[in-house]
Amino acid sequence: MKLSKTFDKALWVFHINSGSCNACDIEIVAAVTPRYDTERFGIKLVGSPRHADVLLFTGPVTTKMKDRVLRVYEQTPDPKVVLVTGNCADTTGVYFDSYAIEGPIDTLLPEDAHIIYVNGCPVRPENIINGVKEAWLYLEELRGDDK
Amino acid sequence: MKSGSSLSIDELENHFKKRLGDDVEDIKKEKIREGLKEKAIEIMWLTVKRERFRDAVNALAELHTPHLSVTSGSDMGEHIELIYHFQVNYGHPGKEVSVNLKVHLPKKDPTIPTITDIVPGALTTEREKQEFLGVQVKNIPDSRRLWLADEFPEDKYPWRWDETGMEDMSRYVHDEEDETFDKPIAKYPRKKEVEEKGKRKKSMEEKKKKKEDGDQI
Amino acid sequence: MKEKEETTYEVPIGPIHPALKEPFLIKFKLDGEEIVDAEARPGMNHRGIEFMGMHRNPMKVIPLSERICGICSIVHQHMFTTATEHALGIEPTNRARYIRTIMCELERIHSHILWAGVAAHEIGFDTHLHFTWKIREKVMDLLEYIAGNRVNYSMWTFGGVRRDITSDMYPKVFETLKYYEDLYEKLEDIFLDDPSIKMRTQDVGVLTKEDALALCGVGPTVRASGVKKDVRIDQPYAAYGDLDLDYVIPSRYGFENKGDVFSKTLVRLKELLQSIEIIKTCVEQMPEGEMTSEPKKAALFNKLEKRSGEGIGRIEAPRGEAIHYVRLVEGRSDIDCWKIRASTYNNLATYRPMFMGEQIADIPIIAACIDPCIGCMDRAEIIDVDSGEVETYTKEELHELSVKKTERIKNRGIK
Repeated sequence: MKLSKTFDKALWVFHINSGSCNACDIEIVAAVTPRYDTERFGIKLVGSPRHADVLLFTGPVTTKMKDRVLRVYEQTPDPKVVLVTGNCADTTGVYFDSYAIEGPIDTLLPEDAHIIYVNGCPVRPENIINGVKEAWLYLEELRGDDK
Repeated sequence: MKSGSSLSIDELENHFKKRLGDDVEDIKKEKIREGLKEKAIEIMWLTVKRERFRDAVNALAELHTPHLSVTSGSDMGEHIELIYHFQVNYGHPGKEVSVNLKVHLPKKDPTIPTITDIVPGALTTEREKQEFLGVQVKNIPDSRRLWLADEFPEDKYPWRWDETGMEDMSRYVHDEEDETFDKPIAKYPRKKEVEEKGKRKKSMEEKKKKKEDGDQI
Repeated sequence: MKEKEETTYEVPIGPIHPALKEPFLIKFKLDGEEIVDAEARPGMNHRGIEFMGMHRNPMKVIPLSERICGICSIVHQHMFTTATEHALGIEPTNRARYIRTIMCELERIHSHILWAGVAAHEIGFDTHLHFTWKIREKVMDLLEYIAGNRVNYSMWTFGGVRRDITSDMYPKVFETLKYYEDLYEKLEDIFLDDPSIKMRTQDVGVLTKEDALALCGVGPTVRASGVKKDVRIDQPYAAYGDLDLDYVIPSRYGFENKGDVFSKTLVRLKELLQSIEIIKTCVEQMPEGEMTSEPKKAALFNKLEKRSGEGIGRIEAPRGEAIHYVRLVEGRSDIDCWKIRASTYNNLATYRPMFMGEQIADIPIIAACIDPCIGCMDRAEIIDVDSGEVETYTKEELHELSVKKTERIKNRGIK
């Protein structure tokens, strides 16, 4: 683990709402803005999955969003980490028994996807930051420079 | 109506009766008192025959530009009920009346004329009713789908309770063995409820009969 | 002119913006820089909530109704519970009505400040985005202090509320209100007096009064055009009947009822002040009494199952009028019919007249000006009328265009 010593690589996050209720989404923005201010660590929301290291999914996957979500996943370069944010992204939460919901995101992604779960309804900004930290550690491990 | 004046709920009722005569039925007026000063929320429900529906909307449009909040609809078994929630007298503090126009459409011919020429803002809600209830809106300027996915079957409507409904399409996405979650819904809950009620009744009767038989012995 | 290409949903979702969240599409037809047609295409976020609600009992639907939208969770909870109360003839206590009113207004404060930040971001003032989100945390703290959670409060129940606002909480409430009163001047200075923001917002995205009325628009979007529609005043619910309120329209403050983005900003800012006043009066006037008129769960469940009826619940949400319709039938534990209508549903239709004749660089701010709740204009598709070619602009590129326009205007001002 190297996290405490250096922040040599800025972590870029891409956020996808696949049918969430907005609650997690505003908390994500809250995590970026001054109170929690993750940008001081180089954690930043970016506008394209092609720039991202971490994918932040919120909400259950709706029928209309299914293909698009998978496409975004494919467009993100490896190595990548999926951060499943909120209870409804994890298990679909209160949204069940519906014709328009395909299921939680982890059932749709390929099996080799590395997933980190961040729970809460909605997640608290502190918890999101913790999840991103976990993602960071994993990515550092992959790079093999944790000695 | 003169600009700047507003109609009371009783005047509105008379207005409808004058314009539509006997074709307007089941007029129900409600007043809900709220707050310490107990100001009333006034709500009016009325049913209009389908043939006179446009006349009823025109009668509202005579007063001022009508505000259509939304159209709600449901499957009542034999027919489909649409409720147009209009608001009258907005801009007059405390005087607004909710006018809920009900129209019944037989299931064999679920058509209704459009009102987009009178209330242009009604388009979204009319398109929604086509998607979700299978109502045919005549002369609708834009009949494309709005909310449902393109691959969604054409003859399925989410708010119907009959065989064109959705029960067999809804997916249970939780882990079925996990006890923390609610269990999946029964298929065709209404049918099942009726069946179960029948069963319960039957077993009760049987028990009763047994008891009576036992007494005799 | 060639045949225009018919386009479908086959658009990559593309970048989703940190400010406006949900996936959402608006299709534009362009003649050079000028927009000649615009069409909003919602539905990406359709979860079938009404269908799910019609298969659950009313108690279970309360948490579901909060999760229709995370920003207006109080609004939907309120409408669902009041509609059910109306249907079943349950009357909430007066103390509950006051607590509900206070919570609704707190939510309006947080929602309007959120919007102001988004609007500033869309025209390239990221400092203002961070400033507004920083001051927004204060009201979030208060909401957490009262309800126990930052978003999704679970405060409502049939017949009242589940958490009280006791007198030892009042100092914290007043402190928060004081904080916003002190800051208000600065907000007005930023959004109403700054010359470059004025240039970007004045005469942009104009909605005329006639259009606003005909399209049944709601909330600050139409009040900026001078339409007097506000459920809090027209048909006072909860504790609003006890208050002395007036419609917030620009002409009340000596401005023209133009209906452009500037007027909409003005209306929202003035509503902040109004909300502060409402909360103050409510806290001062709060009657003593029980939190709920149905403290016994079994009796309440009995009522929910044994009674039938239909009711409507209306509210003035931060974004405008919203309505729920609920019908319950005796003997059926689940809800028989549930219709939800949020404010953006009606305001979608107002996009078209607002976009007509505007420039591409103005798309982000106009899209944001109705405060769309169902989502984010994630990727706009632009059809050139002359060539019939379909270009797609990513949200980022559009945002860049918007920022460039602000810079141009600034530079022009200096020269």
